[in-house]
Amino acid sequence: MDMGSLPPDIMFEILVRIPATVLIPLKCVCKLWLNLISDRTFADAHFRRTKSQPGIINQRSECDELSYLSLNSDRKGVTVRVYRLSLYPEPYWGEMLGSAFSVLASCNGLLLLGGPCTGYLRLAVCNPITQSSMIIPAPPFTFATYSWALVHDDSIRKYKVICMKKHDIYTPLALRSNFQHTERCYAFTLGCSSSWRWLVTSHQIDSILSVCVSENGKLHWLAKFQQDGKTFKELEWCLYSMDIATEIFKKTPCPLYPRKSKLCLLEMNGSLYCTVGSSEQIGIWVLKDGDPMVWVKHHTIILCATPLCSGNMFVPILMTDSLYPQGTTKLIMWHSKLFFSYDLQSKVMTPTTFRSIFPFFVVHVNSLVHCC
Amino acid sequence: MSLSPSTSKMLSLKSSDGKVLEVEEHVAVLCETIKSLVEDGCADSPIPLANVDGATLGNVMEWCKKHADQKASADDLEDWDAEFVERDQGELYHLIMAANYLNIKGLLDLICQKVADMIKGKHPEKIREIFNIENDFTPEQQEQIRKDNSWAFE
Repeated sequence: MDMGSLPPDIMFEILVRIPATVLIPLKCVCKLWLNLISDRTFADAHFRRTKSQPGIINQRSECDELSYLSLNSDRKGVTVRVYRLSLYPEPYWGEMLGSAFSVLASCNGLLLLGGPCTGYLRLAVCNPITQSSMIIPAPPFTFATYSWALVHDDSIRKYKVICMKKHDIYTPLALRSNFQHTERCYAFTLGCSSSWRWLVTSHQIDSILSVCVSENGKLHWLAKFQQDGKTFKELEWCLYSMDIATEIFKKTPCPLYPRKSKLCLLEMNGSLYCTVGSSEQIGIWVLKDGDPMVWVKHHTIILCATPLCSGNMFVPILMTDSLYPQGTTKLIMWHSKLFFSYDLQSKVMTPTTFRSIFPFFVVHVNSLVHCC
Repeated sequence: MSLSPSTSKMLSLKSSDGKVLEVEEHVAVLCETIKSLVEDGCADSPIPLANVDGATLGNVMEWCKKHADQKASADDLEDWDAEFVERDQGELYHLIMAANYLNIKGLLDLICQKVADMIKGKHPEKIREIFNIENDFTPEQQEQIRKDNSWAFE
Protein backbone atom coordinates (compact mmCIF):
# COMPACT_ATOMS: atom_id res chain seq x y z
CA MET A 1 0.00 0.00 0.00
CA ASP A 2 1.16 3.54 -0.70
CA MET A 3 1.00 6.66 1.40
CA GLY A 4 -1.15 8.16 -1.36
CA SER A 5 -4.07 6.00 -0.21
CA LEU A 6 -3.98 7.16 3.44
CA PRO A 7 -7.32 8.53 4.67
CA PRO A 8 -7.59 12.38 4.72
CA ASP A 9 -7.58 12.60 8.54
CA ILE A 10 -4.20 10.83 8.73
CA MET A 11 -2.83 12.89 5.83
CA PHE A 12 -3.92 15.94 7.86
CA GLU A 13 -1.88 14.65 10.83
CA ILE A 14 1.20 14.25 8.59
CA LEU A 15 0.99 17.58 6.75
CA VAL A 16 0.34 19.52 9.96
CA ARG A 17 3.91 18.57 11.00
CA ILE A 18 5.52 20.24 7.99
CA PRO A 19 6.83 23.83 8.30
CA ALA A 20 4.64 26.49 6.65
CA THR A 21 7.34 27.53 4.18
CA VAL A 22 7.61 23.97 2.86
CA LEU A 23 3.83 23.42 2.69
CA ILE A 24 2.99 26.03 0.07
CA PRO A 25 4.62 24.26 -2.93
CA LEU A 26 2.89 21.03 -1.79
CA LYS A 27 -0.48 22.58 -2.71
CA CYS A 28 0.09 21.39 -6.27
CA VAL A 29 0.61 17.71 -5.39
CA CYS A 30 -3.10 16.85 -5.67
CA LYS A 31 -6.56 18.25 -4.92
CA LEU A 32 -6.74 16.59 -1.49
CA TRP A 33 -3.48 18.23 -0.39
CA LEU A 34 -4.53 21.61 -1.86
CA ASN A 35 -7.83 21.49 0.05
CA LEU A 36 -6.17 20.37 3.30
CA ILE A 37 -3.43 23.02 3.20
CA SER A 38 -5.83 25.84 2.24
CA ASP A 39 -8.36 24.97 4.95
CA ARG A 40 -8.82 27.24 8.00
CA THR A 41 -9.11 24.32 10.44
CA PHE A 42 -5.79 23.05 9.12
CA ALA A 43 -4.21 26.53 9.42
CA ASP A 44 -5.34 26.74 13.06
CA ALA A 45 -4.13 23.22 13.93
CA HIS A 46 -0.82 23.92 12.19
CA PHE A 47 -0.40 27.16 14.12
CA ARG A 48 -1.16 25.47 17.47
CA ARG A 49 1.69 23.03 16.77
CA THR A 50 4.21 25.61 15.61
CA LYS A 51 3.43 28.62 17.80
CA SER A 52 5.97 27.63 20.44
CA GLN A 53 8.69 27.11 17.84
CA PRO A 54 10.74 30.24 17.72
CA GLY A 55 11.65 32.42 14.82
CA ILE A 56 12.92 35.94 14.52
CA ILE A 57 12.56 38.54 11.81
CA ASN A 58 15.63 40.63 11.32
CA GLN A 59 15.01 43.60 9.10
CA ARG A 60 18.10 45.07 7.49
CA SER A 61 16.62 48.48 6.93
CA GLU A 62 13.48 49.56 5.18
CA CYS A 63 13.27 47.20 2.25
CA ASP A 64 10.92 44.74 0.59
CA GLU A 65 12.70 41.63 1.76
CA LEU A 66 13.19 40.25 5.24
CA SER A 67 15.47 37.69 6.81
CA TYR A 68 13.56 35.08 8.76
CA LEU A 69 15.77 33.33 11.28
CA SER A 70 14.56 29.90 12.18
CA LEU A 71 16.15 28.47 15.32
CA ASN A 72 16.96 24.79 15.43
CA SER A 73 18.89 22.77 17.94
CA ASP A 74 20.30 19.33 18.52
CA ARG A 75 22.91 17.79 20.78
CA LYS A 76 25.58 19.98 19.20
CA GLY A 77 23.89 23.30 19.97
CA VAL A 78 21.66 25.98 18.50
CA THR A 79 21.83 26.73 14.80
CA VAL A 80 20.20 29.56 12.90
CA ARG A 81 18.85 28.99 9.41
CA VAL A 82 18.05 32.08 7.38
CA TYR A 83 15.12 32.27 4.97
CA ARG A 84 14.10 35.19 2.80
CA LEU A 85 10.55 36.42 3.18
CA SER A 86 9.20 38.43 0.29
CA LEU A 87 6.91 41.30 1.23
CA TYR A 88 5.30 42.18 -2.06
CA PRO A 89 2.23 39.97 -2.12
CA GLU A 90 0.37 42.36 -4.39
CA PRO A 91 1.82 44.36 -7.28
CA TYR A 92 0.10 47.53 -6.10
CA TRP A 93 1.68 47.36 -2.66
CA GLY A 94 4.65 49.39 -3.77
CA GLU A 95 2.31 52.23 -4.65
CA MET A 96 0.13 51.88 -1.59
CA LEU A 97 2.85 51.55 1.02
CA GLY A 98 5.66 53.42 -0.61
CA SER A 99 8.84 51.68 -1.55
CA ALA A 100 10.19 51.63 1.98
CA PHE A 101 8.28 50.16 4.86
CA SER A 102 9.07 48.34 8.04
CA VAL A 103 7.69 45.49 10.07
CA LEU A 104 5.90 47.10 13.00
CA ALA A 105 4.54 44.01 14.73
CA SER A 106 3.83 40.29 14.39
CA CYS A 107 0.98 38.11 15.65
CA ASN A 108 0.12 34.46 14.83
CA GLY A 109 2.24 34.59 11.66
CA LEU A 110 0.74 37.87 10.42
CA LEU A 111 2.87 40.98 10.01
CA LEU A 112 1.83 44.58 10.50
CA LEU A 113 3.71 46.67 7.95
CA GLY A 114 3.95 50.41 7.85
CA GLY A 115 5.63 53.00 5.73
CA PRO A 116 5.40 56.71 5.08
CA CYS A 117 3.77 57.57 1.77
CA THR A 118 3.48 61.21 0.67
CA GLY A 119 3.17 62.43 4.22
CA TYR A 120 0.78 59.74 5.44
CA LEU A 121 1.41 56.58 7.32
CA ARG A 122 0.40 53.57 5.21
CA LEU A 123 -0.45 50.35 7.01
CA ALA A 124 -1.11 46.78 5.92
CA VAL A 125 -1.40 43.35 7.48
CA CYS A 126 -0.06 40.40 5.54
CA ASN A 127 0.85 36.77 5.91
CA PRO A 128 4.16 36.47 4.03
CA ILE A 129 3.67 32.71 3.63
CA THR A 130 0.15 32.55 2.19
CA GLN A 131 0.55 36.06 0.69
CA SER A 132 -2.90 37.00 1.92
CA SER A 133 -3.04 40.66 2.83
CA MET A 134 -5.21 43.63 3.60
CA ILE A 135 -4.64 47.36 3.56
CA ILE A 136 -5.60 49.23 6.72
CA PRO A 137 -7.05 52.74 6.49
CA ALA A 138 -4.68 55.55 7.36
CA PRO A 139 -4.73 56.29 11.10
CA PRO A 140 -6.00 59.67 12.31
CA PHE A 141 -2.59 61.07 13.20
CA THR A 142 0.75 61.92 11.66
CA PHE A 143 4.21 63.01 12.66
CA ALA A 144 4.63 61.17 15.91
CA THR A 145 6.39 58.01 16.86
CA TYR A 146 4.17 55.21 17.98
CA SER A 147 4.58 51.82 19.53
CA TRP A 148 2.66 49.28 17.43
CA ALA A 149 1.03 45.97 18.22
CA LEU A 150 -1.01 43.42 16.33
CA VAL A 151 -3.08 41.30 18.70
CA HIS A 152 -5.80 38.67 18.50
CA ASP A 153 -8.94 39.35 20.51
CA ASP A 154 -10.12 35.83 21.40
CA SER A 155 -13.49 37.12 22.66
CA ILE A 156 -14.55 38.35 19.20
CA ARG A 157 -12.07 36.23 17.15
CA LYS A 158 -10.68 39.25 15.37
CA TYR A 159 -7.30 40.90 15.05
CA LYS A 160 -6.73 44.41 16.38
CA VAL A 161 -4.02 46.92 15.57
CA ILE A 162 -3.13 48.90 18.70
CA CYS A 163 -0.84 51.89 18.67
CA MET A 164 0.38 53.99 21.54
CA LYS A 165 2.19 57.31 21.22
CA LYS A 166 5.71 57.07 22.63
CA HIS A 167 7.16 60.37 23.75
CA ASP A 168 5.82 63.43 22.03
CA ILE A 169 8.97 65.35 21.25
CA TYR A 170 6.88 68.13 19.74
CA THR A 171 5.21 68.93 23.05
CA PRO A 172 7.25 71.48 25.00
CA LEU A 173 7.96 70.45 28.59
CA ALA A 174 5.78 73.24 29.96
CA LEU A 175 2.71 71.84 28.18
CA ARG A 176 3.22 68.24 29.21
CA SER A 177 0.98 68.62 32.25
CA ASN A 178 -1.97 68.83 29.87
CA PHE A 179 -0.81 65.67 28.26
CA GLN A 180 -3.13 63.36 30.17
CA HIS A 181 -6.06 64.68 28.18
CA THR A 182 -4.52 64.22 24.77
CA GLU A 183 -5.33 61.19 22.69
CA ARG A 184 -2.57 58.70 23.09
CA CYS A 185 -3.75 55.20 22.20
CA TYR A 186 -5.77 54.02 19.18
CA ALA A 187 -7.23 50.72 18.05
CA PHE A 188 -8.43 49.35 14.74
CA THR A 189 -10.32 46.05 14.47
CA LEU A 190 -9.70 44.03 11.29
CA GLY A 191 -12.50 42.44 9.34
CA CYS A 192 -15.41 44.62 10.36
CA SER A 193 -16.31 47.89 8.76
CA SER A 194 -15.07 49.91 11.70
CA SER A 195 -12.67 52.82 11.82
CA TRP A 196 -9.87 53.85 14.18
CA ARG A 197 -11.05 54.22 17.78
CA TRP A 198 -9.48 56.25 20.54
CA LEU A 199 -8.84 54.24 23.72
CA VAL A 200 -9.05 56.02 27.06
CA THR A 201 -5.80 55.47 28.91
CA SER A 202 -6.68 57.70 31.93
CA HIS A 203 -3.18 57.48 33.40
CA GLN A 204 -0.69 60.35 33.17
CA ILE A 205 1.86 58.73 30.91
CA ASP A 206 5.12 60.54 30.35
CA SER A 207 6.61 58.16 27.81
CA ILE A 208 6.61 54.52 26.85
CA LEU A 209 9.23 52.14 25.45
CA SER A 210 8.64 51.07 21.89
CA VAL A 211 8.47 47.30 22.21
CA CYS A 212 5.34 45.78 23.69
CA VAL A 213 4.48 42.17 24.34
CA SER A 214 1.16 40.37 24.42
CA GLU A 215 0.43 37.43 26.67
CA ASN A 216 -2.75 35.69 27.84
CA GLY A 217 -5.16 38.26 26.40
CA LYS A 218 -3.17 41.25 27.61
CA LEU A 219 -0.83 43.70 25.93
CA HIS A 220 2.05 45.15 27.96
CA TRP A 221 4.25 48.20 27.58
CA LEU A 222 7.02 49.62 29.73
CA ALA A 223 5.98 53.14 30.65
CA LYS A 224 6.95 56.09 32.80
CA PHE A 225 4.17 58.04 34.50
CA GLN A 226 4.24 61.73 35.38
CA GLN A 227 4.90 62.75 38.93
CA ASP A 228 5.02 66.30 40.23
CA GLY A 229 8.47 67.79 40.38
CA LYS A 230 10.19 64.79 38.81
CA THR A 231 12.11 64.85 35.57
CA PHE A 232 12.05 62.01 33.04
CA LYS A 233 15.29 60.57 34.38
CA GLU A 234 13.95 60.44 37.94
CA LEU A 235 10.75 58.60 37.00
CA GLU A 236 10.52 54.84 37.51
CA TRP A 237 9.58 52.42 34.74
CA CYS A 238 6.24 50.68 35.28
CA LEU A 239 4.38 47.88 33.51
CA TYR A 240 1.37 49.27 31.67
CA SER A 241 -1.10 46.57 30.63
CA MET A 242 -4.23 46.57 28.52
CA ASP A 243 -6.86 43.85 28.51
CA ILE A 244 -7.22 43.08 24.79
CA ALA A 245 -10.95 42.27 25.04
CA THR A 246 -12.17 44.99 27.44
CA GLU A 247 -9.51 47.59 26.47
CA ILE A 248 -9.10 48.54 30.12
CA PHE A 249 -5.64 49.68 31.24
CA LYS A 250 -3.80 48.79 34.43
CA LYS A 251 -0.54 49.89 36.05
CA THR A 252 1.85 47.50 37.86
CA PRO A 253 5.27 48.36 39.31
CA CYS A 254 8.32 46.81 37.58
CA PRO A 255 10.80 44.58 39.38
CA LEU A 256 13.38 46.59 41.34
CA TYR A 257 16.18 47.65 39.07
CA PRO A 258 19.49 49.39 39.68
CA ARG A 259 20.27 52.65 37.90
CA LYS A 260 21.50 52.41 34.31
CA SER A 261 20.03 48.94 33.82
CA LYS A 262 17.94 48.11 30.80
CA LEU A 263 14.47 46.59 31.07
CA CYS A 264 12.95 44.32 28.47
CA LEU A 265 9.68 42.35 28.29
CA LEU A 266 9.48 38.79 26.96
CA GLU A 267 6.69 36.24 26.70
CA MET A 268 6.93 32.47 27.01
CA ASN A 269 4.07 29.93 27.21
CA GLY A 270 1.55 32.50 28.39
CA SER A 271 3.76 34.02 31.09
CA LEU A 272 5.29 37.49 31.10
CA TYR A 273 8.98 37.90 31.91
CA CYS A 274 10.98 41.06 32.53
CA THR A 275 14.74 41.11 32.10
CA VAL A 276 16.79 43.64 34.03
CA GLY A 277 20.17 43.93 32.35
CA SER A 278 23.37 45.68 33.33
CA SER A 279 26.88 45.12 32.02
CA GLU A 280 27.53 42.70 34.91
CA GLN A 281 24.36 40.64 35.07
CA ILE A 282 20.87 40.03 33.72
CA GLY A 283 18.05 39.30 36.14
CA ILE A 284 15.00 37.48 34.80
CA TRP A 285 11.70 38.03 36.64
CA VAL A 286 8.35 36.40 36.00
CA LEU A 287 4.98 38.04 36.68
CA LYS A 288 2.78 35.89 38.93
CA ASP A 289 -0.98 36.29 38.63
CA GLY A 290 -2.99 37.52 41.56
CA ASP A 291 -4.23 40.81 42.97
CA PRO A 292 -1.91 42.59 43.02
CA MET A 293 0.31 40.79 40.52
CA VAL A 294 3.84 40.29 41.80
CA TRP A 295 7.25 39.82 40.16
CA VAL A 296 9.22 36.77 41.27
CA LYS A 297 12.93 36.40 40.54
CA HIS A 298 13.31 33.53 38.10
CA HIS A 299 17.00 33.46 37.22
CA THR A 300 20.21 35.52 37.27
CA ILE A 301 22.78 35.47 34.50
CA ILE A 302 26.22 36.50 35.73
CA LEU A 303 27.91 38.00 32.69
CA CYS A 304 31.33 38.53 34.32
CA ALA A 305 31.66 34.76 34.50
CA THR A 306 31.75 34.66 30.71
CA PRO A 307 34.68 36.02 28.72
CA LEU A 308 32.16 37.77 26.48
CA CYS A 309 31.54 40.65 28.83
CA SER A 310 32.75 43.70 26.94
CA GLY A 311 30.72 46.54 28.38
CA ASN A 312 28.09 46.47 25.63
CA MET A 313 24.66 45.35 26.72
CA PHE A 314 23.14 42.06 25.72
CA VAL A 315 19.78 42.57 24.01
CA PRO A 316 17.30 39.83 25.01
CA ILE A 317 15.20 38.82 22.01
CA LEU A 318 13.38 35.63 22.78
CA MET A 319 12.91 33.08 25.53
CA THR A 320 11.89 29.55 24.55
CA ASP A 321 11.66 26.02 25.94
CA SER A 322 11.12 24.32 22.58
CA LEU A 323 14.80 23.88 21.74
CA TYR A 324 16.89 20.78 22.49
CA PRO A 325 17.27 19.37 25.12
CA GLN A 326 13.66 18.97 26.27
CA GLY A 327 12.71 20.62 29.53
CA THR A 328 15.30 23.38 29.29
CA THR A 329 14.75 27.08 28.75
CA LYS A 330 16.92 29.17 26.49
CA LEU A 331 17.30 32.91 26.21
CA ILE A 332 18.35 34.16 22.79
CA MET A 333 20.25 37.44 22.90
CA TRP A 334 22.05 39.81 20.54
CA HIS A 335 25.39 41.30 21.48
CA SER A 336 28.10 42.90 19.35
CA LYS A 337 26.60 41.68 16.03
CA LEU A 338 26.36 38.09 17.25
CA PHE A 339 23.49 35.88 18.41
CA PHE A 340 23.94 34.05 21.70
CA SER A 341 21.97 31.27 23.26
CA TYR A 342 21.97 31.05 27.05
CA ASP A 343 20.76 27.85 28.70
CA LEU A 344 19.02 28.62 32.01
CA GLN A 345 19.59 25.10 33.36
CA SER A 346 23.26 24.56 32.53
CA LYS A 347 24.00 28.33 32.82
CA VAL A 348 26.10 28.12 29.68
CA MET A 349 26.22 30.89 27.09
CA THR A 350 27.08 29.82 23.55
CA PRO A 351 27.43 31.96 20.43
CA THR A 352 25.46 30.85 17.35
CA THR A 353 26.78 31.11 13.83
CA PHE A 354 24.47 33.97 12.92
CA ARG A 355 25.74 37.54 12.66
CA SER A 356 23.73 40.69 12.00
CA ILE A 357 24.67 44.31 12.33
CA PHE A 358 21.01 45.39 12.42
CA PRO A 359 19.66 45.28 15.97
CA PHE A 360 16.05 45.19 14.83
CA PHE A 361 14.15 42.05 15.78
CA VAL A 362 10.54 40.92 15.79
CA VAL A 363 9.61 37.51 17.19
CA HIS A 364 7.59 35.78 14.49
CA VAL A 365 6.19 32.35 13.67
CA ASN A 366 5.57 31.26 10.10
CA SER A 367 1.94 30.18 9.80
CA LEU A 368 -0.90 29.72 7.32
CA VAL A 369 -3.29 31.87 9.38
CA HIS A 370 -5.67 34.20 7.52
CA CYS A 371 -5.84 37.97 8.08
CA CYS A 372 -9.56 37.98 8.83
CA MET B 1 -4.63 1.18 39.86
CA SER B 2 -1.18 0.78 38.39
CA LEU B 3 -0.27 -2.29 36.40
CA SER B 4 3.17 -3.38 37.52
CA PRO B 5 5.19 -5.55 35.13
CA SER B 6 5.75 -8.39 37.61
CA THR B 7 2.06 -9.01 38.23
CA SER B 8 0.89 -8.28 34.70
CA LYS B 9 -1.22 -11.02 33.17
CA MET B 10 -1.11 -12.07 29.53
CA LEU B 11 -3.59 -11.01 26.85
CA SER B 12 -4.00 -12.78 23.54
CA LEU B 13 -4.50 -10.66 20.44
CA LYS B 14 -5.76 -12.11 17.17
CA SER B 15 -4.66 -10.45 13.93
CA SER B 16 -6.71 -10.12 10.72
CA ASP B 17 -4.84 -13.09 9.19
CA GLY B 18 -5.62 -15.31 12.15
CA LYS B 19 -2.29 -15.15 14.01
CA VAL B 20 -2.54 -15.08 17.80
CA LEU B 21 -0.02 -13.06 19.78
CA GLU B 22 0.43 -13.38 23.55
CA VAL B 23 1.25 -9.99 25.06
CA GLU B 24 1.66 -8.81 28.65
CA GLU B 25 -1.30 -6.71 29.66
CA HIS B 26 0.77 -3.68 30.78
CA VAL B 27 2.30 -3.61 27.27
CA ALA B 28 -0.94 -4.08 25.34
CA VAL B 29 -2.79 -1.33 27.25
CA LEU B 30 -0.58 1.26 25.54
CA CYS B 31 -3.20 0.79 22.84
CA GLU B 32 -6.12 2.89 24.06
CA THR B 33 -8.51 0.63 22.13
CA ILE B 34 -7.33 -2.45 24.06
CA LYS B 35 -7.16 -0.52 27.34
CA SER B 36 -10.86 0.32 27.18
CA LEU B 37 -11.69 -3.34 26.43
CA VAL B 38 -9.65 -4.40 29.49
CA GLU B 39 -11.33 -1.78 31.65
CA ASP B 40 -14.77 -2.94 30.48
CA GLY B 41 -13.82 -6.53 31.27
CA CYS B 42 -14.15 -7.69 27.65
CA ALA B 43 -10.55 -8.86 27.24
CA ASP B 44 -10.85 -12.51 28.23
CA SER B 45 -11.15 -14.31 24.93
CA PRO B 46 -8.53 -13.63 22.22
CA ILE B 47 -9.17 -10.01 21.20
CA PRO B 48 -9.91 -9.90 17.46
CA LEU B 49 -8.13 -7.04 15.68
CA ALA B 50 -9.77 -7.10 12.26
CA ASN B 51 -7.74 -4.23 10.77
CA VAL B 52 -4.20 -5.29 11.75
CA ASP B 53 -2.23 -8.10 10.08
CA GLY B 54 0.10 -10.38 12.05
CA ALA B 55 3.41 -8.84 10.91
CA THR B 56 2.24 -5.29 11.71
CA LEU B 57 0.82 -6.38 15.07
CA GLY B 58 4.24 -7.85 15.93
CA ASN B 59 5.92 -4.53 15.06
CA VAL B 60 3.36 -2.53 17.04
CA MET B 61 3.79 -4.71 20.12
CA GLU B 62 7.58 -4.45 19.83
CA TRP B 63 7.18 -0.66 20.04
CA CYS B 64 4.72 -0.92 22.95
CA LYS B 65 7.05 -3.25 24.84
CA LYS B 66 9.95 -0.80 24.54
CA HIS B 67 7.78 2.11 25.61
CA ALA B 68 6.20 0.23 28.53
CA ASP B 69 9.70 -0.40 29.90
CA GLN B 70 10.03 2.12 32.71
CA LYS B 71 13.79 1.73 32.85
CA ALA B 72 14.31 3.19 29.36
CA SER B 73 15.69 6.74 29.43
CA ALA B 74 14.33 9.49 27.15
CA ASP B 75 17.56 9.57 25.09
CA ASP B 76 17.53 5.79 24.80
CA LEU B 77 13.91 5.80 23.57
CA GLU B 78 14.68 8.57 21.07
CA ASP B 79 17.53 6.54 19.52
CA TRP B 80 15.46 3.36 19.55
CA ASP B 81 12.51 5.14 17.89
CA ALA B 82 14.77 6.59 15.18
CA GLU B 83 15.87 3.07 14.32
CA PHE B 84 12.35 1.65 14.60
CA VAL B 85 10.99 3.92 11.83
CA GLU B 86 13.74 2.98 9.35
CA ARG B 87 11.35 0.88 7.27
CA ASP B 88 9.99 0.77 3.77
CA GLN B 89 6.89 2.71 2.81
CA GLY B 90 4.59 -0.32 2.88
CA GLU B 91 5.49 -1.16 6.48
CA LEU B 92 5.14 2.49 7.54
CA TYR B 93 1.71 2.60 5.87
CA HIS B 94 0.52 -0.45 7.82
CA LEU B 95 2.03 0.89 11.07
CA ILE B 96 0.32 4.25 10.69
CA MET B 97 -3.06 2.59 9.99
CA ALA B 98 -2.59 0.23 12.96
CA ALA B 99 -1.52 3.03 15.32
CA ASN B 100 -4.62 4.95 14.28
CA TYR B 101 -6.93 1.94 14.69
CA LEU B 102 -5.45 0.88 18.03
CA ASN B 103 -5.30 4.54 19.15
CA ILE B 104 -1.63 4.68 20.19
CA LYS B 105 -0.86 8.39 20.21
CA GLY B 106 2.90 8.07 20.72
CA LEU B 107 3.35 5.66 17.82
CA LEU B 108 1.03 7.65 15.54
CA ASP B 109 3.02 10.83 16.33
CA LEU B 110 6.28 9.04 15.60
CA ILE B 111 5.26 7.63 12.21
CA CYS B 112 3.47 10.82 11.12
CA GLN B 113 6.66 12.75 11.90
CA LYS B 114 8.70 10.21 9.95
CA VAL B 115 6.46 10.53 6.89
CA ALA B 116 6.48 14.35 7.27
CA ASP B 117 10.30 14.24 7.25
CA MET B 118 10.19 12.10 4.09
CA ILE B 119 8.03 14.78 2.41
CA LYS B 120 10.14 17.79 3.52
CA GLY B 121 12.56 19.05 0.92
CA LYS B 122 11.07 17.05 -1.95
CA HIS B 123 9.66 18.44 -5.16
CA PRO B 124 5.87 17.89 -5.59
CA GLU B 125 6.53 15.70 -8.63
CA LYS B 126 8.92 13.50 -6.65
CA ILE B 127 6.37 13.19 -3.82
CA ARG B 128 3.68 12.07 -6.29
CA GLU B 129 6.09 9.51 -7.65
CA ILE B 130 7.26 7.95 -4.36
CA PHE B 131 3.83 8.04 -2.70
CA ASN B 132 2.02 7.00 -5.89
CA ILE B 133 -0.34 9.99 -5.81
CA GLU B 134 -2.28 10.82 -8.95
CA ASN B 135 -2.00 14.40 -10.24
CA ASP B 136 -5.70 15.25 -10.52
CA PHE B 137 -5.21 18.88 -11.61
CA THR B 138 -5.66 20.20 -15.13
CA PRO B 139 -2.59 22.06 -16.47
CA GLU B 140 -4.57 25.32 -16.08
CA GLN B 141 -5.34 24.65 -12.40
CA GLN B 142 -1.71 23.73 -11.81
CA GLU B 143 -0.56 27.00 -13.40
CA GLN B 144 -3.03 29.01 -11.27
CA ILE B 145 -1.71 27.49 -8.01
CA ARG B 146 1.83 28.31 -9.11
CA LYS B 147 0.83 31.88 -9.94
CA ASP B 148 -0.97 32.42 -6.61
CA ASN B 149 2.04 31.22 -4.66
CA SER B 150 4.80 32.35 -7.00
CA TRP B 151 7.36 33.14 -4.27
CA ALA B 152 7.31 29.56 -3.01
CA PHE B 153 8.12 28.10 -6.42
CA GLU B 154 11.10 30.32 -7.19
